[in-house]
Amino acid sequence: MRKIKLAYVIDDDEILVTLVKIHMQKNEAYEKIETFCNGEDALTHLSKIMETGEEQPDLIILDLNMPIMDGWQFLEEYTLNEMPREIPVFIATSSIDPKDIEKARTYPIVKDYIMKPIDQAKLNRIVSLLSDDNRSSF
Amino acid sequence: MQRRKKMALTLLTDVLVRSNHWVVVIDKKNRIQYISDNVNTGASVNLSSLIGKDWNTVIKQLQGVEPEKDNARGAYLRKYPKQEGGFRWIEWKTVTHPDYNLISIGTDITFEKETEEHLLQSVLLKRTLLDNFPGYVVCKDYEGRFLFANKAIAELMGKTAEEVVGLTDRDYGAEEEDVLRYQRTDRQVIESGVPIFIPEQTIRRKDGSSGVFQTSKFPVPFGKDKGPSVLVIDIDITELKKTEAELRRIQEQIMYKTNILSAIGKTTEKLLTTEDVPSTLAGSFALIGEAAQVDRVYYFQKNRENDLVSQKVEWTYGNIKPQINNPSLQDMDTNIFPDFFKKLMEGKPYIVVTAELEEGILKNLLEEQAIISMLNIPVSVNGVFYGFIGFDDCTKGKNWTEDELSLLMSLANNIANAFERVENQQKIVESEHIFRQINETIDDVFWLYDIKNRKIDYISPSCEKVLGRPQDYFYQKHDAWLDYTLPEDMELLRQAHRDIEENGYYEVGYRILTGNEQRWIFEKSFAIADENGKIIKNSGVTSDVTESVLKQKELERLLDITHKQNDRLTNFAHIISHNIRSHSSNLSSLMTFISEAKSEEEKKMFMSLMQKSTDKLSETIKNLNEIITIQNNTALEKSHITMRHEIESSIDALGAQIKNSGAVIVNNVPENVTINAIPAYLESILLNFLSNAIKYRSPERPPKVIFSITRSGSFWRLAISDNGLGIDLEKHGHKLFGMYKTFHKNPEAKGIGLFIAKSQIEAMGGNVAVESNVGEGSTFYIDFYAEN
Repeated sequence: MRKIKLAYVIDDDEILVTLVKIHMQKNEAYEKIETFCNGEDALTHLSKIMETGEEQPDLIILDLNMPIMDGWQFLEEYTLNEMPREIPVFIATSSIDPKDIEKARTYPIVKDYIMKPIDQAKLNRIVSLLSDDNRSSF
Repeated sequence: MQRRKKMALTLLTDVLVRSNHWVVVIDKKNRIQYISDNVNTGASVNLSSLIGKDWNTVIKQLQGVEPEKDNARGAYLRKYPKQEGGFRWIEWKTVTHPDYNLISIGTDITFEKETEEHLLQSVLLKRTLLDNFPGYVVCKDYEGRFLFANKAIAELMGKTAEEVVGLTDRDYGAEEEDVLRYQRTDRQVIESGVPIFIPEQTIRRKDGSSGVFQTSKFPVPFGKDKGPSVLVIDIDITELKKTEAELRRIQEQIMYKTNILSAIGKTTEKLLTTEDVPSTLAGSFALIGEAAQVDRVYYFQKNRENDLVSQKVEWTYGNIKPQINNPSLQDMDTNIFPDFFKKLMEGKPYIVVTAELEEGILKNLLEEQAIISMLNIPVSVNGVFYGFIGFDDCTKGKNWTEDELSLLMSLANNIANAFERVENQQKIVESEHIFRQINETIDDVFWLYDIKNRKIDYISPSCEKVLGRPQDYFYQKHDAWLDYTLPEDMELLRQAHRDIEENGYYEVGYRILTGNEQRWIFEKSFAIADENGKIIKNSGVTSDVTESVLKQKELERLLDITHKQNDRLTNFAHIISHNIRSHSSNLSSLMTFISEAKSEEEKKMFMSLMQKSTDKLSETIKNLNEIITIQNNTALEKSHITMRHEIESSIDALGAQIKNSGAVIVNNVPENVTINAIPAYLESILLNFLSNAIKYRSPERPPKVIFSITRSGSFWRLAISDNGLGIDLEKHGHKLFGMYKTFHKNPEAKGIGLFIAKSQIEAMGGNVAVESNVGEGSTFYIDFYAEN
C-alpha cells in the first residue's frame, strides 16, 4: 500500500480538523499532517516550500466554504502556480449543491469529491485512488 | 484467598467508581452485596438500606415503578427518571463471577443520549426553523416512518406535528407507486450517506391533485434510537411551472397569429397579379396550412352550368391521406348536402365537429377522410357562389377562434377578388385597387407602400383603431410613422425598412404613442418586385399586440419573482444542508470516538469538542432561523421613520465600542428626511453597518464613519462611509453579502451580518451596494423607499 508521507488539510472547522487528525493517526497509510485554516495560508506556505525546497505534500484535502480565501479561489490560484510535482486535491465538503460537484469536475487536479464526515473508509479510498493514479468518477 | 478476592473486588469497584461508573454486586441469592455511592447521583435512594435487598427492589426504586423482572445479562440499556425531570441513561454491562451471581457495571451515557435526542428533536430540526420554512420538511427512518415533520406536512395531513410522528408517506394519501419510489431514494441516501437532489418531480395525492416539487434528500447520521435517517426537503414549484407554461402559451399564440397573417399576406400578394387563381392557391396552401396548423387545406369549385361541386386544389400535412383523387369529392351535388351548402351559399362559414354531426351521408363522408373537425368558408363573387376553401383537422380536435375565422374569411375574400379580376380580364394596373377590397373588418391593418414615391398606396381603415390615425392621414403624409413611433424604437423601424430592400422581408416589434397611451405594435412586411425583379413596393400587416405584450410582461415579471423566490429557497435548502450537515457530521464522528475512547481523558476531550460543536450548531440554527423569518415575513408593518434620529440611537447603542476605538461618527443626514421602513429591520441594519465600520477599522488611523443621504427617484439613498481596512471587491465582491463569508482575519468575523442586513433591506424593497478601496475604506449605499 502506498504511504502518504505528508497530507495537507485546508479547512476552517477546527473540530473537523481535529477529527481528521485522529483518523489519520489511526490509519497506517498516513504519516504526517499539516493543517491550514484557509486557502491563503496554505498557498503562502506552498510558495514558501517551493523556494526552500522543503517536502511537498502528497495530497491536499480541501474544504470549499472558508473565510478569506475559499476552496474555489484556492484552486484558481493554485493551478496558476507551477509546482515541481502535481499535488492531487480532494475536495471535502458538506455541500450537496449539484453546481459545486459540477464545478469540481472542471479541475483536472481534483481527484475526488468527498462528502463529510471524513472517516477511515474515506481515507482508505483516497489512498487507493492515489495508488491507481485514477480519478474518481464523482 | 477469599479475602484477596474481596480486596481485588474492592479495588476494582474503587477504580470504576472513580471513573464515574455505577457498580452493583449481587450475590448468588440475587441480593445486593455492594452498591457504589455514585448510584445516588442518579436516583434519590438511601443506598445503605439496599444492601442485602433483592436486586429487583433496587430497580423498583430507580425506575419508580414495579419492574418486570430484570434478569438481563450481558450489555443492555436502561433509563431511570431523574429528580429534575428527564431520564438518566445507563448502559449496563454485567459480568459473572464465581463467588457472585453477577457484577453489574453501569456507564452513564445520559449526555450522549441527550445530545442525540436534543439534536434530532430540538436543535438539528428546530421546530421554528422548519415551521418557518415554506416547503415540506420531513425526517424519515429506514422504514419510512416520520421521526419528525414540519408544520406544512402536518397541515397537509390534517394533523398536528406531534401526531404525524410514526406515520408514513402513505398516510397523506400518496400513491403506492410513488411511496415506493420515494422509499427507494430515501434508502439510497441512508445507505450511501450521499445526498440526492431532484430538480423536478411530480408528487401526486390520492385526491387526484398533484404538484411539482424540487426535492433535496440529506442523510442524517443518527436518528432517535432507530439508526440513521433521511431529511427530505420539498419545495413547491408548481406555480413557477404554471407561469412558465402560461408564458409559453402566450408567446406561441402571438407567433401563431402573426404566422397566419403573414401567410395570408403573401398569398394575397400573389393573388393580386395572378392569371390563374387555382394554381396560385396550389402554391400557397402549404404556407397557410402550416401557419394555421391544420392537416388539409383545399379549394372546391362549383360548376357554373350545374349544381355540382368538385375539389380542385389540395394540400395535406405530413402523412395525412390526400383526398384529391377521392371520387366522392368530385361532382358532389349541392342538393345532397343541403345544410352544408345552404350555409355557404348564404356567405357564412361552416364549422363542424364530425362527432357532433347527426348520422348521415355528410358524417360518413367526413369520417371516411378521418376528419375530426372542419372549417369551410365560401368564395363568392358579387353574391354568386364560386366555391369554398376548407381546413381539416384530423389529429387534435381544433377549436376555431373568432380571430382565426376573420383572418381566413379575409383570405376567401381575396380569392374571390382575384377571380373577379381574372374573369373581367382586368389589367393588373393598380394592385391598390384590389387591396382596397380586402375584407376591411379585420382589426389588423393591411397596407401597401410605394417605396419609390415614398407614399402609402393603400391602408385599411383599422389604422384608425390600431395606429390612432385615419386613412387620409397616411395618404397625405410622407413617413407618417415618424409622428407616432416612440423615438427609442425608430431605429428598429429604420432597420426594418433597410431589410425590405435587402432581404425582401421584415418582422418588427415597436412601440407607438396614441394620445397619451403607449401601445405595442407588431409588423410584418414583404417586398413586391416589378417584372425586372426590382423591389418597388412593400405590403404588410400591422397588429396591435399591446394586450398580449402586457400580459407577457406581467408573466415575465411573475416568473422572475417566482424564480428568485425559488432560487432563494433552493439556496436556503443548500445552506441548511451545508451548515447543519457540517456540524452534524462532526457530531456523529465524535460520538463514535467517544464510544471508542480508550481513556477518561480522551473521552473528556471529545466531550468538550462535542459541546463546542453543539454550541456552533445551535448558533447556526439561530442565524438560519433569523434569515428565514426575514425572507418570509410579510406581516411586519412599515412606518415612517426619521432617519437622523434612528442613526443617533444606533450611535448611542454602540457607545462603548465607539469610545474604546476612538471612533468619530458624523451624522450628516438632515432632520427632515423620513423613510418608509420596518423599524426593527432598520435598527438592525444600522447597527450592523456601524459596528462593521468600527470592527474593520484600519490600525493606522482612528476610525471615522460618515452618514449622508441623497434622494434618488422614489428612494432615499443612505451612504455610510468609513476609513477602515476596505475590501478587495475584485476578489471578494461577488460574495460580500453571501452567507458565512469573511474577508478579514478578524476572529470576531462570523460572516452573517451583511447577509442578514441584505435580506432585511431587500425584504423592504430596497437595495444595497458597495464601493471600496483596500487600505482606504468602504462606502455602503442603502436604498430605502421614501413613501409607501
